Parts: sequence; structure tokens; C-alpha cells
Amino acid sequence: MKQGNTIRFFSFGFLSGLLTIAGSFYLSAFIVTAASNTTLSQTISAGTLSVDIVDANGTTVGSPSVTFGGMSFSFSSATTTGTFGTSSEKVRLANPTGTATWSVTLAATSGATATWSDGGTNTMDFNDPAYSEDAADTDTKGGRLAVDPSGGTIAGVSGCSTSNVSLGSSSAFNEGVTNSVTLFSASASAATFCRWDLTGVGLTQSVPASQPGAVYTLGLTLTAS
Amino acid sequence: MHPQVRNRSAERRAVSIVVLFLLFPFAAGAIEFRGLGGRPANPDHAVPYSDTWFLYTLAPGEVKEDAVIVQNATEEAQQVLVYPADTTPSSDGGFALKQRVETMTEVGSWIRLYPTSAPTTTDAILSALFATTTPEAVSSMARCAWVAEGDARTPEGEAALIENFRQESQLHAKEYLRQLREWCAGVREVPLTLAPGDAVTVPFTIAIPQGADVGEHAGALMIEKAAGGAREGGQGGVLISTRVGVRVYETVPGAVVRTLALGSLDVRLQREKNLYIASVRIMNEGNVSQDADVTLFIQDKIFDRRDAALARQVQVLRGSEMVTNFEWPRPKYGFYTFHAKVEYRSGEEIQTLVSPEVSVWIIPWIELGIAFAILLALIAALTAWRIQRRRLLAHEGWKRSTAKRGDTIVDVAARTNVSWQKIAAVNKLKKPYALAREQVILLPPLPKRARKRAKKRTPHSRARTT
Repeated sequence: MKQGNTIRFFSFGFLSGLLTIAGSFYLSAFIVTAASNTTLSQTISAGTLSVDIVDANGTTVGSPSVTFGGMSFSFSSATTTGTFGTSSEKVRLANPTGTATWSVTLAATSGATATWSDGGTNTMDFNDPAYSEDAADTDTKGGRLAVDPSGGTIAGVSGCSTSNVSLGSSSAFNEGVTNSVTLFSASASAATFCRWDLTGVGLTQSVPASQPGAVYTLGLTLTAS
Repeated sequence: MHPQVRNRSAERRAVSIVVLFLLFPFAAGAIEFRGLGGRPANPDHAVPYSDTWFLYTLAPGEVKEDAVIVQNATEEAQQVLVYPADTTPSSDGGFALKQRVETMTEVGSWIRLYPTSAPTTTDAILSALFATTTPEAVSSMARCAWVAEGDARTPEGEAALIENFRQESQLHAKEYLRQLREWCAGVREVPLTLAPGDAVTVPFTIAIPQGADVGEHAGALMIEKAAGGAREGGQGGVLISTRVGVRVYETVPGAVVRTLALGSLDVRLQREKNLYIASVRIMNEGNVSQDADVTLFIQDKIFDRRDAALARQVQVLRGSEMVTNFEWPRPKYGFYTFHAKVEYRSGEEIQTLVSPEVSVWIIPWIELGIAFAILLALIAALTAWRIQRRRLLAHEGWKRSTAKRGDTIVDVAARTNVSWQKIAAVNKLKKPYALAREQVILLPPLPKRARKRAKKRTPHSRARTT
């Protein structure tokens, strides 16, 4: 019995010692031991301002988009609405820098001469000065897209304060006058090393009378700077 | 417990602890900022904001070399396009940037990118071209300045320069100069593919044109993410792409003018959120961006209890009109005034601008409406009661009559075809509404049938009922 215990004891000790030695090599990647004149250094890359469209879990949405309410052909002008920034496609601004000031804007990707298009010959304007009618602008189509951030909601992620982070004013694109709309921005007194989500920005498109029925798309670019 | 069993269980525990310790290393939690963006490669830490923005004070004609670090902190590979852009007015006068397809005329046109290294050739050719024994000391930008302004700037000058070269070197020199000129022009945009965690440095130069006016000129280096694919299923709507701009502020030295003007103060109710939105309009009439402290004062003119002051700092870009919005929860009722104050530094002085007052009456229409409706209902109920009471007490044509022994108010009521309540009310009878013998009460005339029956009775009976 005593011999058996002794064998087991030394076996256990040997095994533990072996595991400990192996473990010390493994753990040495995580534990720093200082010698008499060891220099410790660590490099942390500085963060950069970024903007993205994320889902409820914070994962990037591959092809973000906004769908408008469907409508039927009409001999009168009409409007259709959509919401930019929903629980499944939130606008997330991350500012991991020491500079508090930033702004996020929305503009047509193809510039002031862009139009809604069905990929064929049917188009509709998004920044006509005369709303549904066609005014003296570069195209011959009516239609105007209004963006209303004032009804939206800014939420700080992981407890970030929303103080000094403010929503933009309601505004409509107007060729040559308003080519970019501010969604939200932060002043110099806002928090740094923080993230914020924006939801609930209203989009309203005025549709000209007798606009042909089709599926229209418009490219918009979200810019953070 | 048996000693052998105790030792075995202790061994198992010890081994388990060691194994678990090795299998689960320490884990540290941290907030991770996963994003795609850029920052200056050569910040001057003594200059505020230079870690985040490019800040220059270059004179017209000056050229500066710098670089931007494009960083992919996401978990996916990213395809991006890097290009410079001018600023453009935004709806609120805030900082906004032109789209890639638009024509750049300011800072966006002053910046050229150099994603590749400058071309090179043999030391002998370089030494001969740049007239130096240490060609490696001649920087790429200096070489560019040489091809733009030196002897080789014209075809004739180039031909004369390389004429003295050995024939086999002439072709090499000619080809080198051609590549150098092409490289020196730089490129307007650089496509990059970044793996997760990658950071790529893109060199660039900013050249201030001779005609650049004094003051601030702003733009940015853009990092635009490649657009996602078209939506599946043929769905329409708006397709969103994203990009980030690393701001570039170039201030051409000279007389700096710092002047702001305060425009209108607009106060309106945002019904969906039950908030008042106060919009303060500030115009920059100077030639540089200006930081300003904006304070919105709200005064409760009736109860003096809900005064408030909301403050923030804003940056108004050169030549632009900025609108900054304050939100204030709508109270139930009251009379309030709003006014804004803007303070900014101009030289050594603090300038102060104050807007006119805007007054707002807050009337609780819904509550007032409910109160009014309740009052109307009370009045209607009271009126209805009074009408009913008047009808009950009306006794025109009633005559005095003497009650006989045994008469009860119910009997009298049945006889006269009137309710007993009316007889009691007219005669002001109290409970138990008993009639005393020979009591005189007012009664209505008997109905026709009752009169006829009374006439048919004996004279003695008739006398009892009249």
C-alpha cells in the first residue's frame, strides 16, 4: 500500500512538473518577467474616425439601403416616405480619437446631377428647386428628397454621453444650393473615444404627376469627417 | 475516509486545476473600435488636433510632402478608394465634402497622391542629370521640381542635356525622365485593398497655387469604401455607401480676419418629440474658421422657476452660415422668452453677439379643452335639473282644496291625475307627506271624467271634493 502511494505521489509530482514547465512556456506569452534592465514596450495604434451602417448587434450591414413606401401611378403629384436608420440598420459613428469635433452628412453619390433611376430610361429628380415640378435645373425631371434628422434619435453606445452631439435640421436637397445634408454632429465639448448610433431620420420624396411605374434607386453617400 | 481514496481525489483535483489553468488563458476585456479610417502619418504632437487633422500654414507657391495612414480595424478585408476633396456647404453650414465625381477647385485640387516609389535609374545618370556626386541625397520632390523648372523642362532642353551622354545611356536617361515626369504628376485617387488590421501609408504633396488668397482653405483626404452590391430581389430605394474624410486645413499667411455675425433665432415646436427646437444662425464673415461659444437662454416670465441656459461650442467655417439646434422639452404651460449669445475670440478680445428675444406662449389646449368640456357638461346638467324642477313646481290653474279625513297624497294624486311628487313639491309637503284633516292644499282641476263622475255623486259627496 505504502509503495503504491509513493509511486502515485511521485507520478503525480512528475506529471504536474511536466505540465507546469509546458505551461510556463505557454503562459510566458502573457506574463512579463523583468530582468535587471529589461525595456518594456507596447504599441497601440491610434484609432481613426469611422462611420458605418450596423445591425442591432453592431455587425456591419453588407448592402445598406432604405426602402420607401410603395405607391401607385397617379395623375397628381404625391409623396412617399422612408426611414434612414432603423434598429437593424443603424448609423454608427465611432470616434476613438482625442478630437471631439466631427460631422456626418448625406449627399448623392453621383453629385448634384444625380437622379432616381430604374436602370433604364425612367428617371426622377431628387433635388429639383420646384419640388414635384421641373424647374430650371440641369435635368428635365421633377422631384425632391427631403431629409429630416430632427425627428431622429442619438444613442450613446456603452454609456457614451450624447451631450454636445446634436441632430441636423430638416432640409431638402436643392441643386446648387443644398447638395449635402448634416445628419448629426459633435462640438468640441463632446465626449471622445466614444460611439453613437443614429436612428429615425425621416426621408420624404415628392413624386411628380404621371411618374411611370418602375422600381427606382438612388445612391447616397454617408460621410464622416 | 480511507487514506488511499483521499490521496487519489486530491491528485485528481490538483491535476484538474493545472489542466484548466493551461487550457483557459487570461482574457482581458476592452472596448474595440472596429472601423475603416485614416489619420496623419506625421503629426506634430505640439500642435492641437494634428493627430487627427492635417494643419498647414503654407504660403502661395510652397509645396509640402506628407502622408496619410489608411487603417482597416475591421474584421473583413476592405477595398477602398483614397482621394482628396474640397469642402462644400452643408445644410446647417457644417463641414461637408464634395463627392468623388465632382470637380475640385480648392484644396482637393492642390493635393496629389504618390502611392508608388519614385522611378530610379543608375547613379551615373542621376549624377549627370542633377549635377551632384550624391544623387541619393536629392529627394523625389526635388527631382520633380527640377524636371518642372530645370533645363529639362522643355524637349529642347532635355535633348541638349542628354546629348553628352553615351549613346546607350541616352535612351535610359530619356526613359527615366519620362517616367519621372509621369510620377511627379501624382495621381488623383488610389485604390487599395486592406486585409483586417492592415495600415497602409499613402504619401502625398500639397502645393499651394500662387493665386491662393489669404486665410483658411479646407478640404479632406477621403477614404471611401467600395459600394456594396445591388439589392437582391430588384428592390428599389436608396443605396448607401460610406466614406471618411481626414480634414485638411491650410491657412495662407496674411491678415487674418475673424468676424462672425448672428442671424435670426428661430423657435419652433417639434410635435412628435414634444420638444422646442431653437435654431441659432451664425455667419462667418472672416477668412478663417472660427470657434464660438453659443448659449441659449430660456426665461420663465410667469413663475420664474424654469429658467435654463444651454451651451455648446461650434466651429463656423470660412464663408459659411452655420445653424446649430438646441432641444428643450416643452413644459405644460407658461410664457417663455428665448435669446442666444455667441462669444468668440478675435485677436486678444472676446466678441459678444446677442440675438433679439423670441417669446412663446405655451397654452395647454388639450387640458383646457377637457376642462371646458367638463364645465359645459356641468352647466348642461344644472340647466336640465333646473328645467325639470321648474316643471315640477309649475301649478298654474291649481285651486285650493281641503283634504278630507282618510285622504292620502297618493289618493289625491290618483284622483287628480298628477304625480304625488308634484303635489308634495307644490304644497311644500315634507316626509312622510301625510295630509291632515281639513288641511288646505293646492290641487289641479279634476280631469273631465273625474268631474263627470263627481257630478253624478250626491250633493253631499260633491261638496267633499271641491
